[in-house]
Amino acid sequence: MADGLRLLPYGRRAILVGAPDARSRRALTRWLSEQPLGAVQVVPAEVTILLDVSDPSVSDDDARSHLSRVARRLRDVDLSRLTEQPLPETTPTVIEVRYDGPDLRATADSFGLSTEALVDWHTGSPWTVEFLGFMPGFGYLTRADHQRAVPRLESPRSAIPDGSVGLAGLYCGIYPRSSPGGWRLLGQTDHVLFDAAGRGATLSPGDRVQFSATR
Amino acid sequence: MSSLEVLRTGPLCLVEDLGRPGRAGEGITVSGALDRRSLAQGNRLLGNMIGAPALEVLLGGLHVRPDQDALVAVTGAWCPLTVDGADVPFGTAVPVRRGAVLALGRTERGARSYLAVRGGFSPTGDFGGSWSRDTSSGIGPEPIGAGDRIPIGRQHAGRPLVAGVLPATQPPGEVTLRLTPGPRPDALDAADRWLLATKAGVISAESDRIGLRIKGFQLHGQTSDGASEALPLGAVQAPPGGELIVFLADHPTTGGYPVIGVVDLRDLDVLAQCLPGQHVRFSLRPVPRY
Repeated sequence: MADGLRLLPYGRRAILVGAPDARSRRALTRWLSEQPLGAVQVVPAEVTILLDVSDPSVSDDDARSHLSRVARRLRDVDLSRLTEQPLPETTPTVIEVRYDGPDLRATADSFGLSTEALVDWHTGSPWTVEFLGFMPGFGYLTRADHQRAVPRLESPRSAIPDGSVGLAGLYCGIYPRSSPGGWRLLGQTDHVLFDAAGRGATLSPGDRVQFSATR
Repeated sequence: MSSLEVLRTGPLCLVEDLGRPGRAGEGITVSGALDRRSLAQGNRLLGNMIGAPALEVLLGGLHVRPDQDALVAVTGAWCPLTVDGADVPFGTAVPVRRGAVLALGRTERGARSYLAVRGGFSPTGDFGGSWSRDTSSGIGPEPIGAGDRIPIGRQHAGRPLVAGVLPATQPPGEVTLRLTPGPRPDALDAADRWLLATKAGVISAESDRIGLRIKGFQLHGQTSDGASEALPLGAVQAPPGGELIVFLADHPTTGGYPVIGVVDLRDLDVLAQCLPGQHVRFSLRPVPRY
């Protein structure tokens, strides 16, 4: 059994894999993407990965044998060796943002920055898509130098417009479509994050995103 | 292409099939019919592919008129059925002549009936190989309204069956849900287990296709650091308010509240037919070992 890796049975058709930190979760997600998984889907989040047989046409018994096979492979993983391998650096996707969000000034104040300096910081280097969740195409983006947790709004907005770019916790996110939400909104983009006519989510875990300020 | 004209609908009418599993990594939930068994039964009766799209009709009240002779079947929650005012049987293949009006009356037991048509429905708005309407994200065909013409597809696989099926059961007394505790071993303490094994809860009116809410279990073993993590279908969240939420087909792919366990997939079909006020019990199952 790999050090620090926990395999938690999650109902009869899933296992939740607990990783010690985001770094090992990243490495493990990548390793899983190279394994034969059968009907098991891999859904990464902050420090966990859900191995889930979500297709209801697969019986509980079959789900169990698929999961057992993946669990056996996971037990043989050497996490320390996995995390030594650097993740490949992909060419960043450029996302153009109009920095005119309703929370831009207050967020800049809380960072002790001018709004211009906050925009410079936000566009200063690429962010990485850690995982997707919440709604189709919603990516949770991180950057090594973003370590100051941004509190969510005390009372969430009832409708955040699609394309809104915001911060919450240690993440940056972009709303693919309008939704209620409590993220602090810095600006707005026309970039398509979810293509309901075909491709689906346009960002994937591991992708890099370079924000760029437009008028 | 032949189609079905919608003359009126009840509170909610959606196109659903077996959903789009396997895409939670993109934030796309499985969606699909809440009572999958009844959807499959309807398709089987008509010789359709098992997951052909049908109409999920909440509480009945749907009137439709085909523009060509059609073969239909209504399964799931029982409701009175007529064609041009004459009674026709529930749970079996029924021919409807071109121009005749098929009416689903008010649901008398259960919540959701399924109107399947030979060939399945094929409206615009499909995504990822599925016609399911995901009410949380808005993916899939728009909700059905009066005046819509829903095209009929070609998803048949064989001949229609000369057979009938029983309506979905909604026990008048209590429903028992099989619950596998987890994912965390301390998800339920001894007192919580005792409560879940001995008390009954009540389904609350705030239930929908995203989650079914159950009142009456004040558990206390749950803690969570609030970190987002992915959830399987049937996961039961225990947010601080005291209600339990059983995640159904349109559930968000991630969540941050503590989870106490997962309801068996086959019991979700029964839950789909439960109305607010229904009493619910849990029976705890052993946790699988891997």
